[in-house]
Amino acid sequence: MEITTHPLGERCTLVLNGRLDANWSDHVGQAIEAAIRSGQHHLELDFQEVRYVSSAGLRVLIKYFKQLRSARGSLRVVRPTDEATAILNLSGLASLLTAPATAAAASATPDDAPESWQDDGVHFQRHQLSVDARLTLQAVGQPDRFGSGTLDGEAATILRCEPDVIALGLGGFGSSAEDVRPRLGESLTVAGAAVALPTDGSSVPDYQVTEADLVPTLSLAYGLIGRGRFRHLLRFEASAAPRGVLALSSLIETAFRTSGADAVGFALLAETAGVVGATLRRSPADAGGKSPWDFPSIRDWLSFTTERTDERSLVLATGFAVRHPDPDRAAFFRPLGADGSPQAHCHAAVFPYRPLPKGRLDLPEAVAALMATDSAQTVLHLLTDDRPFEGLGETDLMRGACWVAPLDTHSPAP
Amino acid sequence: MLEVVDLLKTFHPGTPNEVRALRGVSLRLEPGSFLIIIGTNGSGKSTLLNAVAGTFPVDHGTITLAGQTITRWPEHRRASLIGRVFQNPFSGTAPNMSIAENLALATRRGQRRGLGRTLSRPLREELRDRIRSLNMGLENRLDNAIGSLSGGQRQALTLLMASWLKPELLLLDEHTAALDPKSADQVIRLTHDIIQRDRLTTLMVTHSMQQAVHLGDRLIMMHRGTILHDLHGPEKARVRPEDLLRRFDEVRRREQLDPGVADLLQRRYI
Repeated sequence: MEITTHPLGERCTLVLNGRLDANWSDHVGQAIEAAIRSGQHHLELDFQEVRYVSSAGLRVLIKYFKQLRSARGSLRVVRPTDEATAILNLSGLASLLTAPATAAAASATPDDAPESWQDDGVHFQRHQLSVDARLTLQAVGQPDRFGSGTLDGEAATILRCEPDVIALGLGGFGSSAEDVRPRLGESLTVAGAAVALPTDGSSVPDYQVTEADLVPTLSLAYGLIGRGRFRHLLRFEASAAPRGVLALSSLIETAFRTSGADAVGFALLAETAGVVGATLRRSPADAGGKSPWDFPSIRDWLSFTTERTDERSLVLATGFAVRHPDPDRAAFFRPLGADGSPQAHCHAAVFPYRPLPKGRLDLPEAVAALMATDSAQTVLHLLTDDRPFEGLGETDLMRGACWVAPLDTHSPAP
Repeated sequence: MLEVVDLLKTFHPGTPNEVRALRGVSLRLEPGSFLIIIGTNGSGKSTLLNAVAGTFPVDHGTITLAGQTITRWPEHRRASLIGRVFQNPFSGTAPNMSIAENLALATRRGQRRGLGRTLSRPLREELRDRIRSLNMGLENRLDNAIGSLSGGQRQALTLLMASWLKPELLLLDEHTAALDPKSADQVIRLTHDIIQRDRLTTLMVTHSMQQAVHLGDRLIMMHRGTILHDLHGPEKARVRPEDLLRRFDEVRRREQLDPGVADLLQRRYI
């Protein structure tokens, strides 16, 4: 079989030539997947030269039909041969797969007129959500105690992960403070879902999502909590040139600019081109007064990968960034960009790759859909590797959605 | 029961080639326990096995087997308690002697072996029966030189010889690593059957994640001369190859965390 891909603007045609059987369905699947990953969400499969389709072939068509539908894209079979038409008719799939392109295939809802611009090879769109929305920032716990090995996790903050809360920090799930203490790790919450990477040796992120009256509760030994609504949604897509990626710190700079603020809170859902970060391996509750920073014992405490991990994955992240942290809160922020700006704290849950719908995206809906079908592979504290020569740089994004609100940092600490 | 306490072994001390192969290994193995040892190259797996077998004296620590402190015993004396199968199929048998002669030697392991007639008719019959149980068709080739057999056949026979007298401890050092996949499977099945049947206390070193997962009731992962992970009970029973690979990946990441990264983390991690 021959497979050729012809992208044309918003639409991409894959011309197939031969038999779509078990042997070739895998290759066709890979070609479809490659097209989707390159950002094409409206695919046409040209069946003019396809004489035979087996159930293996049908399964691939259905799989990507569903994946694209959930990303508000489409997959259509066009110009089928009589043989292919017969198989699609008999299998009852003709109405799904050969329906003419409808208005629903148009990428954005027509009543939404986003402002859009191009910046350093990245295409941005800004969707207004709520004109005067802000997030109030609350900082809990004392991050300094991590470094001195005196963080006992006794006075953890129990956070109810309501839909209007974004948060991150060192936390965990459990029935009591005692239960959580030995598993305190990287954690985050957004849109009524919470994910935490336990440090009890399991290395599998645990999660809680809102179900009916069940609201996730996260115990935070220390962390940052933002409450409120987002002001706007930034959609971004890095084109091939010049770098083909958007660095996280550049996205944050854009968020500063578009929200006209020096402090922002954000939620991020993005396809990545490489995540750089670190995870805690042991609960700081059993540090016993010893600093985890000492070498080589730091190896027991933290895991950092010096290769770009999770290339081509999906991250769900929350973050807070400020141009100038006020002194009370400085302990909660670290320089993110290579030049030391902005100061930020950002945690990301890494998921297997899946395409994101384009246009205006609803955060709770997107998070619920993601959590319902996929499990996070890890949770990372994102950082920039600025070591000379061997440094990896920072987390790079391909395309995605970032919900942004100016941060009200002057709320009194509780 | 095997108990090793705080074993230290450094090869070529004081030279540029100094290797601290064992850095304080302690391990207690209940009778009938089947322990799998995994680890990266140079982690000390084989050194641990050889220390127990007596291939070299250890620098520090004690080794107790079946109630006797064997730390200072020479290798040949330990052979009365320990059966061993090596990675190299040519190491465990005498190639110019026949199958029957090799096995006859094994039946008198650790005992006085004089100049009398060893291969009596009843012994030959017993050998034939036990070799038949291997299902390799070797029972009719008792007088063939062992050197004429394939690697898999030789490992199966070595295993039979090593376990003939139900040793207090069976040591298997990657004993299928040099075999083709089919022979390796056969030898592994045989290993499992013999250890099960005779409830042999066993230490087995392997690089195969499949074997590590499916064999044994306990698993240790070694790294740089120490025991990094020790899985037993339900944790061992449920472990999957991908879990082990993940643990290896963690080890790799540990190694990559050098002082430069430590400095980076201190500056940028909260």
